[in-house]
Amino acid sequence: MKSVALTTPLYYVNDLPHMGSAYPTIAADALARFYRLQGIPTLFVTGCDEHGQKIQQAAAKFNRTPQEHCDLMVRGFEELWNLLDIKYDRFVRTNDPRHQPIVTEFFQKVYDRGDIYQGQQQGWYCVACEEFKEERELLEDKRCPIHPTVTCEWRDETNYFFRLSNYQSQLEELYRTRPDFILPLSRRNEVLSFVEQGLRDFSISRYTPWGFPVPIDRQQTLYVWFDALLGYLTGLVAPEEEPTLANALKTWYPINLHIIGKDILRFHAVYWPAMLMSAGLPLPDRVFGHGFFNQRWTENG
Amino acid sequence: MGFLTKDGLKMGKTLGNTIDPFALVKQYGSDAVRYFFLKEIEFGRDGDFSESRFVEILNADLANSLGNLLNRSLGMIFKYCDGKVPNRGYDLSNSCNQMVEQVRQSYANLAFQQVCQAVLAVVREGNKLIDDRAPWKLFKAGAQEEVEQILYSILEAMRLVSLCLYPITPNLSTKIIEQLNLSPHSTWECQWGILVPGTELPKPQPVFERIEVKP
Repeated sequence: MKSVALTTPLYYVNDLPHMGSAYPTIAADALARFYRLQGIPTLFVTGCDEHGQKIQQAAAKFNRTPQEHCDLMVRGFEELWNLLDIKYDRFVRTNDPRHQPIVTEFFQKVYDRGDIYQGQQQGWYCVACEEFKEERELLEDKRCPIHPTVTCEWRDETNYFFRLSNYQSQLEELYRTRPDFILPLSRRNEVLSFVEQGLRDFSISRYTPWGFPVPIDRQQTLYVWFDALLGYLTGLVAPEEEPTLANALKTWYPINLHIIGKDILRFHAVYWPAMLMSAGLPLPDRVFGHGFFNQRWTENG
Repeated sequence: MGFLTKDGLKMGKTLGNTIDPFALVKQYGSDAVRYFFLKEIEFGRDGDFSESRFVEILNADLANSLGNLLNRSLGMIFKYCDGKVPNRGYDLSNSCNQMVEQVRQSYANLAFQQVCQAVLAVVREGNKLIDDRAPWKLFKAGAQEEVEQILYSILEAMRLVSLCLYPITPNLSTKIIEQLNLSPHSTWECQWGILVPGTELPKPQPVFERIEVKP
């Protein structure tokens, strides 16, 4: 191996880090330290995902501006990583002005490919997931199955869509020819069965102010996941370099490993490779989905 | 140490309703947190967390097995070998070669649990070597060379153990390597026999304090 670029998720800053954010970060740090010991040039990227309506709501709850809220939460992440001896090389913040030109450039590539179109979107929206839900998935009173305390909102919007459906067969080909693209096996199977049901285009814009404007329509902002995934590319640009896609791709790309939680598997193992295919970029080597832990207190606890 | 919550669950007082990583790391230190989560839960699968299990694992693996092995060996080196690295021995060299190879593969596969298990296997073997060969008896019987070879083997194994664990427990590994009067790990120096006989060793210090649970 000539070099290794690995990432943790870019953690959502609606709240301070929890053990579920510390866990993959510890694993990524251990791995980065191992590769450095082996003498292999290593880039360890972590960071925070700062856009979206959920952040706005969290900020409002504490009477902060979104920016103040993000700054405060980011300090919490940095403090915890310091306490845990996490030696990352890059800390990406998705509302960093350096991120925007890369997002815009990437968007243009996908747009030029003909994979972005305007469409109508109606449905139940979970703000906690930042995702539309199928009506049949919802619990009683339109509550989200993943966030049972959150009541989904009815949305009827004109949004921009990404033609995920164009990539159905290319993704299936990817999973077939590179069986270790998604690990462990249980996660791979999860993705295969999701993709098998048929991929639907997803909307990549919202009418919320806290985000980057859609380059072709300033009325809307980019969907938080679209720009969050691109944060991995911004993380590859050296701090002293101009933030361009070319600079992101020249040294550390493609990324060797994305360590993620199983809750964000679909975004990394389906949406992300499809976006990269659309932009004509090589894919990461591997997406590894870790598990969760139950907390259990025993008599001796 | 627990108290009752409104749910009737007993919980560690540092932890509240969910595990607070800030409280956990401030109370137990970063190596403890890093080691527990990578050792106890197979990476990629779901697992359980309980504070009692947390304390149990750290005490068993790091304080008792690993910490004691280093401490008792250094104690004997100060008694029988003048506080210097003894003459070379090779008692654990095959096991260590296997450990290093297994550990290298396990990291590459993100199998952190297997890393820890491979390391613990060598630590157990080291403790068994001392129990079986009883260097204190050999010393009394005048078998100085054998005593030295055994103790060298333990020290060299500890050096490799600390190398293998360094990515997971960097502080603990650095303390171990300082006890061996070597500079901190910066390369994968995995061959047997790096310790030089005759090198002065610092006074033994515990490398991982046992966690005492207050009643």
